[in-house]
Amino acid sequence: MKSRALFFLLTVSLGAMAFLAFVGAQTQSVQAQTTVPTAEPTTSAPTATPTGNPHQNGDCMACHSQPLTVKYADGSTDTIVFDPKQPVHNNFACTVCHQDQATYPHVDSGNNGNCAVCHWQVAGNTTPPPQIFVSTDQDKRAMVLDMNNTCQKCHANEFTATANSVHAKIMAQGNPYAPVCVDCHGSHNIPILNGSRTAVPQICSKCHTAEYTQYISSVHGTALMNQNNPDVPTCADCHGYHDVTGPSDASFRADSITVCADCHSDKAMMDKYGISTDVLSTYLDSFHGRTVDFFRKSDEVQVPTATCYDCHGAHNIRSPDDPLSSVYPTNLQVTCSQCHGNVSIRFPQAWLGHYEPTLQKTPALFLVNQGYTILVPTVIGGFVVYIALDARRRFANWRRERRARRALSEESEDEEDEQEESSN
Amino acid sequence: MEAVSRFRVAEDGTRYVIRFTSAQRLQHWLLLLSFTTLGITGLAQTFENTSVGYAVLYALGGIESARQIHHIAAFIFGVTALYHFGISIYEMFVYRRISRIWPEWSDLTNLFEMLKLNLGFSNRHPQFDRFTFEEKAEYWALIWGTIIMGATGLMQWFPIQVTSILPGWIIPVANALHRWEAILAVLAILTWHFYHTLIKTRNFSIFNGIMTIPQMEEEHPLELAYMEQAALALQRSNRWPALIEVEWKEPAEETVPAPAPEEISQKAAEEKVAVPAAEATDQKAEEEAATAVADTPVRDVQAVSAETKPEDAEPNEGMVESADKKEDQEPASSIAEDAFNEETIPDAEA
Repeated sequence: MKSRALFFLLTVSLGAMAFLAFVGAQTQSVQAQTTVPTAEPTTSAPTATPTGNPHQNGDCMACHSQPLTVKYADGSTDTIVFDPKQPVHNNFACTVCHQDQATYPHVDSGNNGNCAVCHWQVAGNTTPPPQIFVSTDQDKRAMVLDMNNTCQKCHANEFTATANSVHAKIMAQGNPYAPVCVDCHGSHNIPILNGSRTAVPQICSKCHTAEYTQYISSVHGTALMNQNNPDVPTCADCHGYHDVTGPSDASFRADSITVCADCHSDKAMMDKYGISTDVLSTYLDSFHGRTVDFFRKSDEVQVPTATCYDCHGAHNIRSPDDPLSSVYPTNLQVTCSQCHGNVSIRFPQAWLGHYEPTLQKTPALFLVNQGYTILVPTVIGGFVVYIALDARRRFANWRRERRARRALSEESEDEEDEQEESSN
Repeated sequence: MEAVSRFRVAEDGTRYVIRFTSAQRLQHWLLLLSFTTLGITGLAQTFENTSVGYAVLYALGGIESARQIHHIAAFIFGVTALYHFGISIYEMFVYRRISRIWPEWSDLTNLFEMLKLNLGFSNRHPQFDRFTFEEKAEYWALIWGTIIMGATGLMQWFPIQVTSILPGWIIPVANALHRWEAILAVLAILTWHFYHTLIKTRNFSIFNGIMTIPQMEEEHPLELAYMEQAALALQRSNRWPALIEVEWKEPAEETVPAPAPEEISQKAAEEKVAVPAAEATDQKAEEEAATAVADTPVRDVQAVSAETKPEDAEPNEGMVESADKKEDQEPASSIAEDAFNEETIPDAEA
């Protein structure tokens, strides 16, 4: 909208210059500078008196500090106004990003340089014409998407990363409202987000309201919003910032276990909250974990087994001590039934928790492990010792017999030799 | 099988012994194949996080495919085990025969004797009966392993059904037991079983069912002695020739009335025995006579079997010996003494 109007104004300005040049040629004297009409304009006409030639040194604010109407190709209109007091990304000049509007009239302005739209008095009109600037873009969103490409100039890495994201996939499937850079970051006033992690869920909530509602009441969300806790994940910590992935991605499900484990196996971090760091190892030791691990390593498609978030929830994660948690002992039957159908109340007890077996908590399992750790080496060791002794004896016997046989055959050879000698 | 009926003569005249029936050999084949499959697929799943385990699973078509193969092999293994259990119960309680595989005190003494021998403290090699203590250990380890693996495997295969009755913690306990027992069983087979059957001797009787007489003398001399005493007793008893099995050699073309024992041995000696006189010792001649007698083709068994006790006429699984062994032993010993007495040796032409 703004750029279209800028383009239009540029065209108009160029047209006005051409007209004035023509006029000036007629009068045989071309003034060095052209003056802007100083008549009292209507509300939608530029009012500022720019310094120098606005058309040439790009004083965009001459036009764009006031509301301007843009009409798009599909007939929709939009009012654009830019508050010159708002901060601009890196304090760039407008034309750093709006390169197509660096000249006047603006390149893609549909007004084709009709200077009379602004310079209506010069053109001899008594009333200002409607200040509608025609854009060549289909609609406002198309204009935004087109403008969005300028981010790539400086942020090539992030721009390329977004091309791999699920948002880009949605865009490619035909939804123009899939988020692009400016949707999350803003277009002119782009705050630096590193310092404000609490902004991330709020930005994502523009589209993902349901997940945001769940997240806000979750153990991660409350810690983030209430205490700005640096340890808890925001949306982007699990889903990525630019190469955003989601459940529709094949590898998301299998890789999710490493996402959770990145923090939940970090002893320094987890000790602050008294959370076990055996979560990943105990999970991988189970049926679910082994299957998911295998699928992950073989890059298989969707894994048909439980990952962390299948039991703990994805956005509504609560502490296991929270009665509302999906892994609270009395809630587990429902959680397990999601996949396993109707199960008895004893079925969830088959999962002994993300803890290494101990004698106090899981005596049977502990004793089995300990018992066999002793039994197997003892029995096999006993076997090997017996076999070694037996083999040694048999080998020694075999060697002795072989020597005896050789001795006998030598004797008989000697006898034969003697017989030969004696018979010769 | 009846001890005597396990003697056979090959075409070249050498004697051999049937050690395992074809049913037993089939069971072993099924066990062999299913155990190997179970071991590979099971250990690959357990050690999925290792490169070898992962490679095996990948080669099998994924972890789910490996599980399916594991289940199929487990089914075969289970069916074989159930059949074995059933047939053993049948023989124990219907035939009332105690298998020789049950442990005895003599096994313990044999173990100590072997240890003394292997350590060099003794020169005496223990004499083994039908099953050495090593073989009994293997068998009972297999029974122990099968029970544990079968039970824990089923528990993991049907956790929902199991937890509808039993507490849930039994599933991870079953998993631990299953994994550990698998390791123990596989290692036991690789060390104990393979040493005793492939390295110590190349005893392939479990595949071809037979052992030669020298092998029997080397590995199971007590059993061989019993069999030969039984054969001799049979020869001299009035139950001869009623206990001949149908499987033996084809009957002669002419049917003759039951001859007297002496005539049988003479006739057999004329037809069958071809032992060089130089090598024949008294005992050997007697053995030949006994076997030749045992192999003599006679008329139809069915007609004769009416006179015999039913239990004696039944062919039974080779692992079970006669419970009336003691009966045979008493007359046998006296006759055996006579047998070694030169005057009472039947007039064989050897």
